[in-house]
Amino acid sequence: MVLWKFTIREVKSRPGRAALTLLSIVIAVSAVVAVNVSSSTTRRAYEEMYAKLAGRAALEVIAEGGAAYDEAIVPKLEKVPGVKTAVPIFRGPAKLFRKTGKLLFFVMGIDPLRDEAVRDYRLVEGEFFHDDEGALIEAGFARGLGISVGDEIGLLVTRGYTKIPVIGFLAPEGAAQFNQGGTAFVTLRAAQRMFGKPRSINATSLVLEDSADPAAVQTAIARILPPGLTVRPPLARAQLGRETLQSLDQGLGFAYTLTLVLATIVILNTFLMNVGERRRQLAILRALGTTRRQIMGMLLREGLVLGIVGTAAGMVVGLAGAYGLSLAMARAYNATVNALEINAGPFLLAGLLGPGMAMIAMLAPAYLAGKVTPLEGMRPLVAEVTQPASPKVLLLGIVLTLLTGLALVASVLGYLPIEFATPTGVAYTCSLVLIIPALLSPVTRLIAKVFHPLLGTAGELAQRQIVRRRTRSTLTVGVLYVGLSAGLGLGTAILNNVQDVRNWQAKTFVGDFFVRALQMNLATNDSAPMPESLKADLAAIEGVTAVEAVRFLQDVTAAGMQVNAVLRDYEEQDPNRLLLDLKAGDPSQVRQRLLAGDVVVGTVLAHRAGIKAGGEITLRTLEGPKSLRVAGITNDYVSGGLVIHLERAVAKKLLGAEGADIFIVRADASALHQVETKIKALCDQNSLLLLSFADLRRRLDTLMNGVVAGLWGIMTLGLIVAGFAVANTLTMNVLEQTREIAMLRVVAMTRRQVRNTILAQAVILGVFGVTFGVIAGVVSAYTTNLCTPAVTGRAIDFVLSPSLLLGTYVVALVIILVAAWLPARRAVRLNLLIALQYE
Amino acid sequence: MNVIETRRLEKAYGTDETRVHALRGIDLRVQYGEFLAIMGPSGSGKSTLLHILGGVETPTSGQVFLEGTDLASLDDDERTLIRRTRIGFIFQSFNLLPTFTAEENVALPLDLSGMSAKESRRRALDALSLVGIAHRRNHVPSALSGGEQQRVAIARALAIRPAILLADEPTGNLDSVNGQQVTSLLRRLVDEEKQTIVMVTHDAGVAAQADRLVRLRDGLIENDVRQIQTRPRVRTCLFKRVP
Repeated sequence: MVLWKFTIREVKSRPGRAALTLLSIVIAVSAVVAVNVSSSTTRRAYEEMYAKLAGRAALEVIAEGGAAYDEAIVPKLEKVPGVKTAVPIFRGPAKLFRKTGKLLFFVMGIDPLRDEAVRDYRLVEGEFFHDDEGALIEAGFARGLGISVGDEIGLLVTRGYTKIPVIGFLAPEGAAQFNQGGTAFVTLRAAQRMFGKPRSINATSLVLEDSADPAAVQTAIARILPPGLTVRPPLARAQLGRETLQSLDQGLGFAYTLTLVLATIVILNTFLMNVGERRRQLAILRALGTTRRQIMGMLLREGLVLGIVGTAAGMVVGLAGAYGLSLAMARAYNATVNALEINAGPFLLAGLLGPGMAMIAMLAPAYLAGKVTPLEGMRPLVAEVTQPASPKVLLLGIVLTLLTGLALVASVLGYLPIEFATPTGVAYTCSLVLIIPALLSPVTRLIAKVFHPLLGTAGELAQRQIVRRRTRSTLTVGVLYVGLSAGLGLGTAILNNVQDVRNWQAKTFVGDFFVRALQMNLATNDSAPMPESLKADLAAIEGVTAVEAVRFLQDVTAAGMQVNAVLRDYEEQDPNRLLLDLKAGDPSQVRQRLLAGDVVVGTVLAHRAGIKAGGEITLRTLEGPKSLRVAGITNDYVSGGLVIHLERAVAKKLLGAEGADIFIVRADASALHQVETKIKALCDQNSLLLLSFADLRRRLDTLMNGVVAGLWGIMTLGLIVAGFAVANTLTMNVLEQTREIAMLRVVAMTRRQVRNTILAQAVILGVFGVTFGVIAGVVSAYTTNLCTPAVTGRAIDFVLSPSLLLGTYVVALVIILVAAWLPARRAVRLNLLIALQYE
Repeated sequence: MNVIETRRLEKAYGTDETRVHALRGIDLRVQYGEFLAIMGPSGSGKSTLLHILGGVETPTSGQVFLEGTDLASLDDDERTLIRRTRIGFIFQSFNLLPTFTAEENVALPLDLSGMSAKESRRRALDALSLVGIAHRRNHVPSALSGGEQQRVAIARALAIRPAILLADEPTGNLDSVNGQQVTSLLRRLVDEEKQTIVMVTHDAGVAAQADRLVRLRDGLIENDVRQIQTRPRVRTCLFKRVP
């Protein structure tokens, strides 16, 4: 009990240090909670969106590529044993026109008499369907857009522009919530008319008997389905979105692992300082009869308590962070976040990691504290002699670095599974920290020498103080090194990816003008297709040399995976310029092969399915599974590379794809201005978007700049944490040097010289840590780049960004100097008489 | 009867070339109720001897018996328990925990030995009263003068009712008035409480308050004399060689 009191009073007497320790734990724990909770929340929101649409349906029948099929199949489906009800629907994307703007909308054609067996609708205003006229919309969405019951809304679908009266509003529940309420429910017949598909549907929802086994029913239905139709659980539609979420999860997971490593080092450094500062009091406790075990127990309990308090606070902060992250992620997926998906998982993980991290960080300081002898409490304090570098630690560092380095190289070269690369990379990075103590003397001496014209004698004094406290200095350099190497590794990988996206876009989407109905949702690839008839209108414009229609098709199954299909008019493309970022295959042959019915596969899909150029891939078509020859492998960013490219005419036959998501217009260079004016008039007439190549590039740049800004944000946050560590170390150094600083002040030193000595310590530590970190960061980035093809299937050119390297270097040093300012001011303001008696 | 006894006590530091012999075979006996002062020039081994008597350092060879138990044969935890219950320390620099009040500092060794909070507070208050500082029991060390801090340190040492009280330069950090008061207090503890005290000091005036004076030089006992105290005890004594 008395030792608890001692601990609590000690923590209270140094609130700044305790706050730094807690802050490190809070940051790490909140990152764990925020990433895990937001990830499951977004995933659930995304799945719920489709679950609401699916209602009570356990299975659904669809055609490949979402194409329409004859509704005559419905009665046959209903006769399959285990099927209670088969409900036909026709759904499709549309563009909604309002005075305030245009937005992506969905039309859902339902059979009013049968659909309630699957989905619930609650009317809050207006009336339900009397005949085949009118649409029902979710009340909140409609009111937000100023739509009233009785208004007419304008919709653009693949068959052209149409107007439809709103006959009622639905309560925000069930299927009405799909696409955040942006769905018009019309009768099946109306939808068929609107999309020009009489007697056709594109999905059948199946409600099963309570006793039915869904898997058995699925097999039975698959047997009677004609080629091109497939039966699956409705939530399979959410699978592609999950793929995209997974890559985001991996990125965030890496970020929080990095946060955990940094936090552990900062906490270790802080605890070591705490123990160092309390050394005398620990010795008194030992002299008065406290055993080694009691001292160790006391400190481990202190670590545990700080870990628990920090974890509790981190969980609260993490929940707030999770809410913000979930909103941002759900917005990208057009899903609605009603409440955070809170389950025990992330909290158990955080509950283990937070206190565990604090306990692990406290182990070494507690062990050292246990070794404090009572004699230290009986003797007056004497100046610490310089701690020598431990040969054992150096040897351990060299052995671990060699072993982990070899394992890393073996993983990259394929001798070990590539999954080993990440843990061995982290272990390799941490092993190098053990070599820092041996490098500390020569490297800091060299830095002091190089910076002598700037630092002068202050530099020499600073260097000696740094070496004198080898462990503390090592950990500070270690924080800078680990933070920067991981940050730069991640940063370079992101920048190389960004550049790869730009290159891909510049190679694949080449044209003078781009006509679209709406901006595509980049996360889900949802867009509103335009009627194909527009192609002829655009081609008829004088000066236009070619018009290429591009269609992005979802719900396509290739090599047994849910993928996206990109359908293009290769006939309309320049025969001398292949608009693909080809990574394998003969560029001179690929276009001809595509026109002949071959396909080009995205690198990620090729990697996952183990497909090579010249090989074959099975595509599920309206005529059943078809084996198609792979003419080439291309780098692609549509659906994260899970994509298959087909000639549009071929895809029309195989997948029944209609409409166009983009028209790429190419024109005579001499007539660009006139062509633009005429296309603009056509677009205005049809309420379409017109983008020039420069506009498209600018939009992409804006998006990519956002990613790069986010990267700088993360890097700066990491550096600020490292800055705390530097400030902490220097404060401790100042405290320990109080007597010496006073003596130097009495003998000769001016306040300015004292300040310079402390700042010089920051400069030397900073230059060492930052340089080491930047070099290691480059190595880490290069290794990451080497591992990427094996992990993701995407090969990306490795380019070092001088602005990132230089920017990181300068920003890191500025933050370190700012962090050193307070300790320097403290040293300058010492009261000489008191300081001379300081122990 | 001896509280503590050393036999051929030797202590050496360093390795072959840099070996320094702090103690070269000390035979010393301290009886219950005795007030022993140890003097000697710097490096004579007086602090080392005190540390070995207190069980915070182990001899290179020889034996130290505290109430019949050889401290040199005990492990660290066993010596710690002996320190906690049988030995009281008084340091030159007081060594009070800065975040604890005077009363809490005094109760600390009692709390460590598992005594109930009520009982340890009562004994702490008794000890503070004994040294005349009970009225300052709720003050932290930084709010006390040097003399007051040393009296709290003495109370802490007394609270465990030690077999022996070891004082290392107890007046070294005090002015003459406070130094005088602390010396008188120690003398009173011997006279009235029959407390055994071994004290290392540089100050001949302080040493003169002891019943017996041991002078060390180069790790050996140079002389060991009994001092006969007269009333008033301060600075008045006769010297007599111990047989």
